[in-house]
Amino acid sequence: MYKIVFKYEIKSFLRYIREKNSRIAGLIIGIILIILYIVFVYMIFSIPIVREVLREAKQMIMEAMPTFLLMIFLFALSGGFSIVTSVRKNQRAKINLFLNSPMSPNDVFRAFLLVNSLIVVLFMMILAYPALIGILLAAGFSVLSVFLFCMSLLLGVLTFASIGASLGIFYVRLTRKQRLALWLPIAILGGYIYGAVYSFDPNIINIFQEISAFLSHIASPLRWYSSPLHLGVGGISELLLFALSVVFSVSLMEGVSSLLRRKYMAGFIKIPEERIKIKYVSKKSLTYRLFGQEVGGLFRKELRMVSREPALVSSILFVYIVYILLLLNFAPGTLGGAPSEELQLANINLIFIFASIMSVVPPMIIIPTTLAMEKQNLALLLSSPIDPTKIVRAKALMSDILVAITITLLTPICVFMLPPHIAVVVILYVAVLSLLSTGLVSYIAVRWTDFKAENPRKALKTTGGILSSAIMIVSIITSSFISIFLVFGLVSVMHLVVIELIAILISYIIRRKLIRAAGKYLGKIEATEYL
Amino acid sequence: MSEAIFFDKVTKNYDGTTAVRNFTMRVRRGEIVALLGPNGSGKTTLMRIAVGILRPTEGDVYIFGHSITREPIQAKRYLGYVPEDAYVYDSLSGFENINLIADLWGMDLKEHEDELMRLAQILEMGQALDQLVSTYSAGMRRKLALMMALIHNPKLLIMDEITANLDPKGLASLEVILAGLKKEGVATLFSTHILEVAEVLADRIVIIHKGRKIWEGAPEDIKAETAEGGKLRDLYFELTGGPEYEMIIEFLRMREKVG
Repeated sequence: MYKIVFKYEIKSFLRYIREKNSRIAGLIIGIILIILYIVFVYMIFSIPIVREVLREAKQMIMEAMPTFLLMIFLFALSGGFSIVTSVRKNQRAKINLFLNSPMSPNDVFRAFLLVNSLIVVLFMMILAYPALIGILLAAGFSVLSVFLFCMSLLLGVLTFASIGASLGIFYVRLTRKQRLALWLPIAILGGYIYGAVYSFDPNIINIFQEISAFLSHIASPLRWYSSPLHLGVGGISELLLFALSVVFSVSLMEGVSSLLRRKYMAGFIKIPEERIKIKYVSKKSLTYRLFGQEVGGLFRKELRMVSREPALVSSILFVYIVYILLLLNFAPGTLGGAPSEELQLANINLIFIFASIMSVVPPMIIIPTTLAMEKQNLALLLSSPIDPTKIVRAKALMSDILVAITITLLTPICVFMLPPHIAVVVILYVAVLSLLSTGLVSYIAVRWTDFKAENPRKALKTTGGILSSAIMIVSIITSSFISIFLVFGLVSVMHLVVIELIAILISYIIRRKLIRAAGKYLGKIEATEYL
Repeated sequence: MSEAIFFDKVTKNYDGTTAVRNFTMRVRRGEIVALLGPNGSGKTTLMRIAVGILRPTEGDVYIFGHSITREPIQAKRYLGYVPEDAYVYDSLSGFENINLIADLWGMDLKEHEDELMRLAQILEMGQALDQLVSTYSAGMRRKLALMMALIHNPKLLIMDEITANLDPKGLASLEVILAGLKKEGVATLFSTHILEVAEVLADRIVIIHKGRKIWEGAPEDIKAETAEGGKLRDLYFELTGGPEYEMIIEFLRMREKVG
C-alpha cells in the first residue's frame, strides 16, 4: 500500500516537473543549491575555531534541544493542519480512489497521512538536516548519537504533522464565525510572543528559560526525542528514553490515522451549513457611489472573500501586531517625557523602516492571494462585460484598506515619537510607497501567478516572488536613505515634503498605468491557464 | 439583426494540436441549436471562444454583430453562459453570487426581485440562496450557474453539457424555460452527449468531429440522411464512428475465459 501511494505521488510530482522547461530548470537549480549548501556547511564546520566553539557549547546544545524541537514540531503541526484545511483539498478524490479498491481502509489512511506528512516536512528537512548534522558532529557528538537523533527528529516531525492533520479534521467543521473567533486570539497571542521575543525583554527571557527547563524534564516527550544526544552520558537509560519516543510516536500516529479513518467514513469531515441574510444592495450605497457599480460590486466580493478566509485575516493581523510591538519595544525614549536628540534620530530611522515594510506588505499579501483564489472563477469574470482592469482595481482597493489601517496606526505612533514635521514626512512616504507598491505588485501578480496553485497564499511563481522581494528591499533601502538625509540635514523637511507630494502624484499615475497594464494582461490570459 | 452568433472560420490550435478547424456556423434569434460530438471534438473550445475566455487562432466570433475579440465588452453584454462545471464562488452565498452578476451587468437586482425569487422556486433553490455555495451539491451549483446566466436577461444563452448534474425535474424545468426564452427571441446554443435531448430541444443540430463541422440540419432532416431512415443515433455513429462491437464481444469472451 505504502509503495503504491508513494509511487503515485512521485509520478504526479515528476509529471508536474516535466510539464514545463522552467520547472525542470528550477529543480536542477534547486539541486545545485542544495549541493552548494551542503558543501558550504561542510566547509564551515571544518574550520577548527568553529569546531572548538561548538565543542564548548555541547552541554548547552543538549539542554536547549527540547526547546528547539518544540519549534520544529510546531512547524510540522501547522504543516499537517494545513494538509487537511487548505493545501491538499483534492485529497478526497485520491482517498476515495484507494478506498474503492480492495485495500484495508486503515492502510489507506495510514499511508496518506505518512506521505502527506513527509511532503509537508520535506523542504524543512532538506534545509535543517545538513546544518544540524554539521553542528552536532562538530560539537563532538558520536556518529551513532547523531544518526539516532536524526531518526528521532524525523519520527517526531511526522508525529506532530499527523497531530496537526487530526486537528484540521475538527477545524473544517467550524463555521466562519467560530474560525474567526479561534484565529483572532491565536494571531494576537502569536504576534505578541513574536514581538516580545525580539524585544529581548529580561522578563520574557526569564519566562522562556523556565519553559525551556520544563521541556527538558525527564517526563517531557521532547526530552525523549533528544535522548540520543545524551547517550554518551546516560547510557542505557537514554536508550530507554529513545525507545519511549518511538513508542510515543507510533501510538500517536496510529491513533490519529484510526481517528481520521473513523471520522472520514462516518462523513464527519464536511463543511457546516451557514445562512447569510439576503440583502439587496442599494444603488446609493457608498461603494457604488465611490467606485461605480462594477468595481464596487467586485470590491464587495473581495471584502467578503477575504473576511471569510480566517487564515488570511489572521496572517495579516499577525504582521500588524508584530510590527507594532517591535516598533513600541525597540523605539527608545518614547512616551515618557521629551526624548534626547539622538533618540529622536534613532526613532526616525526605525519608524521609516517599519513604515516602509507596512506599506509594502499589504499589497504583497492581498493581491496575489485574492487573484489565485479566483481559480476557475476567472472564467466567470472574464466572460462578463467588464474591462479586466476593473477586476485588478478591486483587488488593489482591498490592499488600500490595509494601507489606510497602516496610516491610521502609524499616525499616533509618529505623533508620540517624532516631531510633527517629520511625522508628516513619514505619513507622506507611506502614501508614496503604498501607491507604487500596489501598482507594481498588481502587475507582478497578474503576470506571475499560478492560477491553478493548491494554496493561493503560495501561488506567486518564482519570478514574481523575487520581484516582490526586490520591491521590499528597495523600499527599505530608500527609507534608510531618507532617514540619513534627515539625520545629517542633507535635505530640509520642507523640501522633502514637496518632493513627496510630487512623488504622490507621479506614483498615482504610475499605479494607474500599471493596473491598466495588469488588466490588459489579465484579459489576454487564456482559459487553459486557470481551467 | 437576426443573427445572434456567427462563428466565422474559427480555428484554434493548442501547442501544435488543432482543436477546432475552420468552423463556420450561425445561430439566429429565437433559435435553439445543439452542438454534438464525441469527447475532445472541440465543443467546449468553441463555446469558450464564443464567450471570450479563449482566443481563436484564426477567424472570429460575432455576437449580435460585435466581434468577441475586438469589441468584447459589447459582445459579452448579450451573453449568458452556463459552463459544464459551474463557475461560482464557494465562499459567497448563492444570493451574493447572483448579486455579483447583477453588478457586473450593471443591473439593479432589487427591481428584479420577483423574477429572481420565481426562478429560484422553479429550480427549487429558494431555500438555498442564503447558504454558502461551499455547502451546495453539484446539482445545486449547476442550478445557481443557470440562475446567474439568466438573471441579466441575455439575448444569447450558451450552455455546455446542458444535462450535466441536473435531475429529471431540473431538466424538465429547463426545457420549459428554454421554450419560453425562444418565444422571447433568445437564441440558445448548447452541447450535449445525450442525443435524445438534442432531438427534443433543438431546432437545428450541428455535429462536429475532430474540430470540424461534419453535419448540420434540423431533426426532421435526419431520416433523409441515414441509409436506414433511422434516428439521430444512427446518423451520429455513421459520421463519428459507432461502438466497436467486435472488440466488445472479444473483451467479454476474454473475461469469460478468465472467469
